[in-house]
Amino acid sequence: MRQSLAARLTVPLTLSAGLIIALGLLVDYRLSRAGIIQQLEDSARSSLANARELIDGMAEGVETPVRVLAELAAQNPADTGRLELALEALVEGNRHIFGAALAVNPELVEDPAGYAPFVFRRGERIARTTLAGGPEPYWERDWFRAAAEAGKPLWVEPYYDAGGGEVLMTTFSVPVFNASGAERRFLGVITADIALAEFRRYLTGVDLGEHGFGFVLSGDGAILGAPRAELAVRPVAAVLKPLDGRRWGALLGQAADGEPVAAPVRCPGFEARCTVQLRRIEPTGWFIGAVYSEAEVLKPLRDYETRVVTVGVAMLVLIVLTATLVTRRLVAPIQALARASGAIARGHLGVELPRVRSDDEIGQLVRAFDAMRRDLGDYIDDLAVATASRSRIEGELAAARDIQLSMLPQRGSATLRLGHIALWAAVRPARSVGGDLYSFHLQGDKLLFAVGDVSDKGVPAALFMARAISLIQQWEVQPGPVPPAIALHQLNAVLLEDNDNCMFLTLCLGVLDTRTLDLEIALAGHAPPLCIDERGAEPLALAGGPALGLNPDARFQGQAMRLAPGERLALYTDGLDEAFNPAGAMLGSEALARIFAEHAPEPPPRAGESAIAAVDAFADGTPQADDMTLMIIDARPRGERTGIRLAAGPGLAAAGLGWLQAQPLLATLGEDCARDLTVALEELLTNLEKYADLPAGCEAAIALEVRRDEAVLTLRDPGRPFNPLEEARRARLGVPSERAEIGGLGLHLLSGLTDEQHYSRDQAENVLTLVRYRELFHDGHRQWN
Amino acid sequence: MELTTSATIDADKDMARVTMAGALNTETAPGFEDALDGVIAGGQHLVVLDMADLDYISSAGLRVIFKAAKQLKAEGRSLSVANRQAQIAKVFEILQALPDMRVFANDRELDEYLDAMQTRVRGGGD
Repeated sequence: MRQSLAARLTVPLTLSAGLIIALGLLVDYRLSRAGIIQQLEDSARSSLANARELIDGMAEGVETPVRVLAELAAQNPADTGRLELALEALVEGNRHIFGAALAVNPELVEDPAGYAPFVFRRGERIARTTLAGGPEPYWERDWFRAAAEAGKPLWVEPYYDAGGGEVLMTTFSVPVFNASGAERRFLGVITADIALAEFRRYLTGVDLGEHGFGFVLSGDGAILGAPRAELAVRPVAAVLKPLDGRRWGALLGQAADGEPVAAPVRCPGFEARCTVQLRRIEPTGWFIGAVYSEAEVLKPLRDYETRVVTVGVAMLVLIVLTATLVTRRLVAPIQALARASGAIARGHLGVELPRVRSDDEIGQLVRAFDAMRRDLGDYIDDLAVATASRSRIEGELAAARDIQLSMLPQRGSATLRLGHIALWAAVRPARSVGGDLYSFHLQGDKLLFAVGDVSDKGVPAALFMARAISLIQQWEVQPGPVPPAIALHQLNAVLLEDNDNCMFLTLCLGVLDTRTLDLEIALAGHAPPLCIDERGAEPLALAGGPALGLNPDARFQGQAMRLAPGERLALYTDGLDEAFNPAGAMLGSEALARIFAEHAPEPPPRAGESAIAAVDAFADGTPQADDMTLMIIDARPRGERTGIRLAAGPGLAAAGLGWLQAQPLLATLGEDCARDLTVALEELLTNLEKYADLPAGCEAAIALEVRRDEAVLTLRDPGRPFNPLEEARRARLGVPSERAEIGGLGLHLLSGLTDEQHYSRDQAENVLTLVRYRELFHDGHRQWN
Repeated sequence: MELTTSATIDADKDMARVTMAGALNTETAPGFEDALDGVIAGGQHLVVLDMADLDYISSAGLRVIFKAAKQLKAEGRSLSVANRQAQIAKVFEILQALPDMRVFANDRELDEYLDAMQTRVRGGGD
């Protein structure tokens, strides 16, 4: 899939921004995490240390006065009254102390119940009672016996003080021995009690997460204090189960040695892994401990992590949104422009371009694109107009060319055969239309002919030429005929009128008597015709007048001469002798004369085509600079002749063919030529016999004339005017059998077998002339299988 | 000039061979037309005009050949020419006759063609 510009901008932007944010948050998290953990540890440690210190202080605050009191009692064992007062003062003055007792060694007291006054707090007041006389003798109680046996102060394990304070408590017992005398005697025990509830106060301040708590253990592992009252007195082993297989005894032993102990345990009250930390409290032999869930303790850290991730994701989302919005906004005009350019490429120039108000590069681009589109539209419109007008002009020029050629006899390429006269003419404009012209016309025995060239070329020349040729053709039909020099004079006078553009016409006019070969010829600014015979080609020596249309006083001089049989006139315009080759050299009239001399033996059409081909060969691809016109008029030499007149009617064809085949002259032509002429005559005679409907008694004449380059077969009939060359049916050739036409083949055969076919109407007779060139020049001179 | 024709029927090859000698022109064309009609009536699939000795032909002769070719083709049969002399070939060429007509330059070409046709027919019959 093609990646859009927006995607190519947004994706890397977002990715890099996301990466930067992630990196930043990660670094921040790394740094913050260590700090948070440190802080949490510090907080836990310090709250524990704080609690420990307070408990320490509390213990000490209890121990010290009790010891002092014990000292006092040792010195004055008998003064129990004062001691009791001191007890009262102790309880009253030390808010940690729940109660205090003075338990005298029963051996020293007369009363069998012993003597043991006990002062304790009852609500806000200080109450008094005696521990003597209870259900269990006080000397059997731990706090008495243990101290007596140890002989030194100690804290007893917690217990429920039934018959005393009626609370859970632990007791500091100090044995009192007599200070005077040699024998050390046990006098009794002085105690102070701390209600276990007291410990709670110090431990509630320890913050160890939701389920974590601090606790105090007695030396034997009973819970002295914990924030939850129900845990009191329970052995710690029942509450916290180590997970690493160690026993509490070992843990406590280890802690008693002064080492801080840590162990994993099952969390109390919920299924999770917790850690327990334990440390001995000097000098009581207690342990302070803490149990906590690491997960809970680190909850602030987790919260922080969550916050970081949330903030990171939120920032990323914001960045993606922002980047997308900004990119879209930037890229939208470019995308629209891309779509628009695609549409323009498909030719929809009217497509709407994006609206951009800014003056930045995109704005410039859109505006430049718009300008380009406008220019392109204008250009295409101009081009369409130009193309249309060009094709219109071309069409008009083509039509003009047709019209111009139709002004010329036989549409610009003509052959004529009349007795001994053969004519061939062709015009080839340099452009669609041109200023060259030729014309010829038979007036009786007189052949009037003209070759001319209007100054300039192209359309202006063509228009002037049209005027000129109509004037020339008027001359041709003017009875007389008007001699060429006078005709030139008249033409000059007419062309001078309104010739503000100073167009002019060079012209060669001639009148040839086709019987006598008398020729009268005059020139107006035109090259003299070449006279060609077997010796070479020479321009006629003529005194010419100026070109027509310029000089009102121009004089023209005609010249009379007589053509000899075998002589050829070549009339040409300067397009031939002034042809250029790629090197820029001009052909010249002398070289042109040599070309004509070289092709002198050829029949006129072949000679004319060869001359133009030679000029083209000289030009060697150089574009034709000027119109070319060439007219060749031959006074054919007299050949060997034979002829016959045959009566019309059935058998005409057979008789004619029989006659032809019997002619020795035919045999001289060679087998192919003779056969072609025979077939051609058969076609003509068959046609005549079948369709001419000749009146009985009339005759048709057949003549054969043979020259060194051609054989001419002439058939004259006195029938109604009919030109079979144009009027007879011609079958369509080259179609498969099923669509083949039966008949209409003769004419095709005629034109295929002979080189020229002419029809004329002469002295009320149809004259058909067929010219078959001798093998060297014959059109069909190729190998047939 | 005269035209002599003779027809030989090769039933095995389903072919009629018309040998032509002389000139086929306006005069001889009607006679040739009759002769050819007779051969065509024989019903052979292929009619071959052997022109080895035909020296001359004009449009009248061509007309007869065109007509025969057209008729045979309409019946699903065919007309061929063989052994044309150069001048005869030239006339055929000028008249562009006929694009679908088989032309054999000599007897060998004709035989090869017939052999090929027979092989095809036999192959088709099996």
